Amino acid sequence: MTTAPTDETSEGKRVRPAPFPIIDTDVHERMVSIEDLLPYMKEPFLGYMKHWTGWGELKYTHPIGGSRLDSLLPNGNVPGSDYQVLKEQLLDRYDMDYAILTGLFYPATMEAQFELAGALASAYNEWYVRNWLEKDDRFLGSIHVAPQIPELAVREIEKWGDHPQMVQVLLPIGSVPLGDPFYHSIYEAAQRKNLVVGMHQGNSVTTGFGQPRYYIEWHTILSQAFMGTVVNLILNGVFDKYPGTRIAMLEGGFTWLPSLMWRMDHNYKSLRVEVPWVKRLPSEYVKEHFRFSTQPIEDPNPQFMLRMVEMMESDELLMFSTDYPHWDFDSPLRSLPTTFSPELKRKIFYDNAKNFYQLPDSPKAAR
Amino acid sequence: MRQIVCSSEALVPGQKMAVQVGKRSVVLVRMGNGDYSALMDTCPHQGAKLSDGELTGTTLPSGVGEYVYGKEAAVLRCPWHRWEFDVTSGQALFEDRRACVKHFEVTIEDGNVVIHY
Repeated sequence: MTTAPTDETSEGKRVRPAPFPIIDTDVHERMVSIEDLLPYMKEPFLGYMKHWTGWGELKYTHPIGGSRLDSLLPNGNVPGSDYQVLKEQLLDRYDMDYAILTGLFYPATMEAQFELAGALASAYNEWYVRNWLEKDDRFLGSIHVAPQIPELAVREIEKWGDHPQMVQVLLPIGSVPLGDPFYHSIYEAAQRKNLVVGMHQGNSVTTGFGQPRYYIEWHTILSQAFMGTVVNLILNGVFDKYPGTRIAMLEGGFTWLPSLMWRMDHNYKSLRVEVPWVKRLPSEYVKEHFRFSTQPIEDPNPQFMLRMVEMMESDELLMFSTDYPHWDFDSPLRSLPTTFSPELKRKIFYDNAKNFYQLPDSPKAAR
Repeated sequence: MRQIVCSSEALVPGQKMAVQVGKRSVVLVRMGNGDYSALMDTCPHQGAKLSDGELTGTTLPSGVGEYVYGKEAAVLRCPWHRWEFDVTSGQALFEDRRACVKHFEVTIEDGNVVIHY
């Protein structure tokens, strides 16, 4: 009897395992890096490749780059990763009193391996308390959690909820309905620790028809997910079960809010029977429990923007944000409409966030 | 008014630099064809320094699904929101009468770049 030589005995020698030809139908060659392809590409896609991040959570390669070009770091590290540069370009440049850190790391939207998501969120909190919060008392923090396993999220909230700089729990908006009763223990824990729940779009956020073909489409209509989440939280009874819940909607826009409130109230008058735990007009929940960050603020006729605030029937719903260091950064000097009065601007820049997050007055604010 | 800002060889095509012309902050660019041009160094949108942006080409109006790249090193793209300006005119590449950067005449005289303002 003859046997084919084993790998151990054949190392370095050419062997044929059988007395006939052989075809391997699955062999994986690799590039050293994506840069190997650049000589074979041309504009405009060559330009895209400067911003290549692979097929990750974000489904798009940014056509113009995701960060302010003046925030790029000489050592090649990602913008926003250097405290001194952030301090100079943001905190000191605009003489800021507080800056609420929201990161750009969302294990909360992982769609598998939820225990790993919990471990990543927990590690991130440890890392950034040491490396960011402790560096500057103007920083306020967001507790990163993995809501896929609510018990893990609650544990993380309990661990960090009493940290003096932690002001909110971060729940990125992905493709799940965050008002679902499955997640309610997270709101209970946030209420118990007197924390805001901040909702920022995750990179995997989808639209009404999934992922549209172009980045500009996605970036324009991702507000849909915020609109859906506002409705979902109210009608699934989060605020009736946990009346201390405060939700900060971050980077999702706000000019859609008047029509959303009108439509919700309109439907409530006819369909209340389905959600009897909702005891007031939905728009009243919005005004009491939600605040909306301003960036990226649109820039239509400035009179229209003032009317938008009037249509919200409250000047307390908006909180200023820059989104530093991203490409669509809103400058504190130039982004709010010229039609906004100094009183309204003060509320948007400071009072509304201070009251909502229940912050102590900053020493400078008394000036 | 006129001011010499540098030698005509100071920039190679595709390069740009911030210069001070009188009291004005100006961005001087050398386009892909070798010509110089100059714009006010402030984006009319939110005030970023255009000299921190990119001197680039861009996609030209085209058919659906088609990409035609042109204006090589003749477009200045803001470092923040990436508004694009034609460096030969200061006009934005989209229609908005407010989106225009002041353009300065540039001449080459005796081997020097001169900005007229």
